[in-house]
Amino acid sequence: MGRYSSGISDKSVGFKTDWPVPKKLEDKLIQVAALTLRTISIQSTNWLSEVETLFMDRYLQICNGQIDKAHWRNMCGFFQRACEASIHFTPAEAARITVAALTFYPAMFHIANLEANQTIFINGGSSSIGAYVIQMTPGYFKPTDDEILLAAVFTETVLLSFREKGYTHLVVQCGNSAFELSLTIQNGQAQRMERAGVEIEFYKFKPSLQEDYEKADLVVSHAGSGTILDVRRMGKSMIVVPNPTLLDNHQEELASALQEMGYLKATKVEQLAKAINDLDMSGSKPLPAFDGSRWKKTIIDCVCVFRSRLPSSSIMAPRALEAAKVEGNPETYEDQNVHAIYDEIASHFSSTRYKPWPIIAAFLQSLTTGSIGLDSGTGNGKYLPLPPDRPGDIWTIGLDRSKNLLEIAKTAGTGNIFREVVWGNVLDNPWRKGVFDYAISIATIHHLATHERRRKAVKCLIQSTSPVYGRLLIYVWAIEQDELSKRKVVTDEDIPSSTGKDVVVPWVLTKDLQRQTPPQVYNRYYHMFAKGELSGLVVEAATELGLHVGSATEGCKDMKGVEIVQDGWERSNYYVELKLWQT
Amino acid sequence: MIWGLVALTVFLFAYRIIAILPKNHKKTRHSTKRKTNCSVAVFLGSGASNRFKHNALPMSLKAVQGGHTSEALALISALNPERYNPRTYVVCSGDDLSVQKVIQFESQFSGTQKSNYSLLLIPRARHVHQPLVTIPVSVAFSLIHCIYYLTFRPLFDPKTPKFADALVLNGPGTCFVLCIAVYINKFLGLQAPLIIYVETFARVKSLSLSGKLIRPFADRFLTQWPSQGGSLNSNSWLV
Repeated sequence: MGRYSSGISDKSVGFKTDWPVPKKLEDKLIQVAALTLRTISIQSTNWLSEVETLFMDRYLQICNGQIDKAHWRNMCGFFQRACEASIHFTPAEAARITVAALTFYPAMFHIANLEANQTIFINGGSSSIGAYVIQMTPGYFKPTDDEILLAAVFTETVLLSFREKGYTHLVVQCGNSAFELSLTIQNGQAQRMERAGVEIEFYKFKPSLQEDYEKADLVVSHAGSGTILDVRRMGKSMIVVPNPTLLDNHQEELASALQEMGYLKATKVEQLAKAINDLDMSGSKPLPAFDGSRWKKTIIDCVCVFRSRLPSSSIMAPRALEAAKVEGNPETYEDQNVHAIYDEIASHFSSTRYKPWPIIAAFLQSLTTGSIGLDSGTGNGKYLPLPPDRPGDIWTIGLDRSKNLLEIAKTAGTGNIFREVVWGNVLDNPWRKGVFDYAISIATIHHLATHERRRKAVKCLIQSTSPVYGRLLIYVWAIEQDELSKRKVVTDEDIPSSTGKDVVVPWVLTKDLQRQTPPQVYNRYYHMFAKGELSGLVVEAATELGLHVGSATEGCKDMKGVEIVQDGWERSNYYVELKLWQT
Repeated sequence: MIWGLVALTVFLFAYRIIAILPKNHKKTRHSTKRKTNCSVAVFLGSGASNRFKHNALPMSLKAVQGGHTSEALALISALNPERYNPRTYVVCSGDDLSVQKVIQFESQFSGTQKSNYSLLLIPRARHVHQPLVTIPVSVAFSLIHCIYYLTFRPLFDPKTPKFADALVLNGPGTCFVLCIAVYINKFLGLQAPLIIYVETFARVKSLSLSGKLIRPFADRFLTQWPSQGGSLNSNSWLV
């Protein structure tokens, strides 16, 4: 027998024919049932299979053969069970059960808007067929999960939750579902309506959902991996409802893993309203951006060793670089022309910086076990995991100004190791004096806008390493670019050997490779060093710190100094290796 | 006597198969010869097809069509187009969505250089809801096309001397047929691409069927989530 609940009688379910459910299905079923029952011969011993066959044939006639036979077989099986379960049902009654069952689910979702834990009042009449139907129907007629999700989104409860959270505009993509409201719209058009104080716009398909994602603050969808990556990387909050029926998609696994990591909220259809209510927008972690460097490394390891020279026919002519003019406050200039840009291009930049340079790799390789050092301007952290054959032997702490690059540096290398990274400015000198055994600063200080700031950076580096045995390695971009470089510094005037040249170096970023938007060009500021300029900078910095420049001299006591172990030019860079000493 | 010959043939056959399987303990680079560029082929697929029509194609089918292709293109986008060319995209016939995505991707990818890529269509090995009985037939048909592109065309057409140096697979069904074709080449001692299998981002806890099948045959097998029991992190994400 069915459960009773007081009131809510207008939500009772009966066998009515004026429901706005998929009309064509319901009409046909009624016709079929009527025709079949007229031809049943109750005297026949296998009247059940007779009915089944007749039912099927009539239905096929009416539907012009467009029916999923497997689905129909299931339904007829239900019909049979209904008859067998109770000897008190006449075939006519059993037939009516089937018809009621087929139209029950749409009724529950489209009319009664039933949700979990709600009680329903069933007016079953004297034969309690209604109650029987509800017990018998699960599994025999089920709308697709998409239809369930859509229906849920349009319910008052869910809409009210949206409104309470401040969402007043809802855009819904319906696709081809048999969902009743989607039948009202033509292909290519959008329909508008208002319900529960929320403005709703819905359409069937669009060639690309990017625009709608961009306008949204919250996206509710199934847990397809592509959608999740796209939407979350746009920074939009997301609630996903995994679709368990897609076998090869494993939406539930992915959704719960990402939920556990704090990247989104996963829920079931029945709890959608609650999920919206509970959604904490501030707590959603940004999804790591696409970092192609791991993949690139794998494919290079596996497949190709590239010759370092491309045949001259395929080299692009090096582009002459535009001169840059540093104006105003150097700090503001750097913020705009360096730091902001690196934050934008972080992941793409990272995917082009994966191969450690030999001299730097050799330097790190030569460090003794247990050394702790600094990578000032670590970028994507490609040097943090080195040396490769004795990982963990030395510990390098990475400092960088770009938070987005640091997110990538945090997990640099392989394995489950988190690298120690610090978000800060190389000029702030946040370290205790003399704390590091070694320090490297690769392609960093050439982003500083003035000579004074560059000298200060070298000073900070020297100060942070041990005055007794500290070792340093600094790399900067050189005016003299080698033939393989895509950059060329125009030298149409005589440049005094010590001052170098300020240039802008463009970075072309194709934001979305599958869209029509033109790529964006970012102009980064660089100071290209002239020959001897870097060594000169070191000498100036050392002098300011009161250090003697040169190798430790025998016999002299109480002297502190820095020795330039090697300096040179390698592959478009000037580098200098230093060793601090104290007697 | 006959049985002796049969036994010998079977033995030699088995020995050859074992010899060509990837040797996992030696993960050295396969070619020490330095090259200027590396040709890469990638299989773009989807689990869906319109062959066996349903009354109402569920909306979710479109999502199934997107996932693998988008991931594969994301991987290619990380590569340098000057080094990795010519590029070959293998698509199942009927998968217009993937073809469109490739064309759009390539128009942006190579920037100012001329795009150097080609699209190959092969018939699908298995359609959704295909009756089991007809599967061997469709697989064979698909395999014939793969063999043509991997084995015959490189041998007889001077314009395409080899299929590719590397073949990237990321999971959709028909890719196993490509794998078989690669092994046919290896068996005969012909040039064969290295197989790099990347399990899709959506598989967190277990491998897909394609992954399980291809694992013993792939030269590199990559997953994007830590193996069973490991704590969740984004370290191995490739997309």
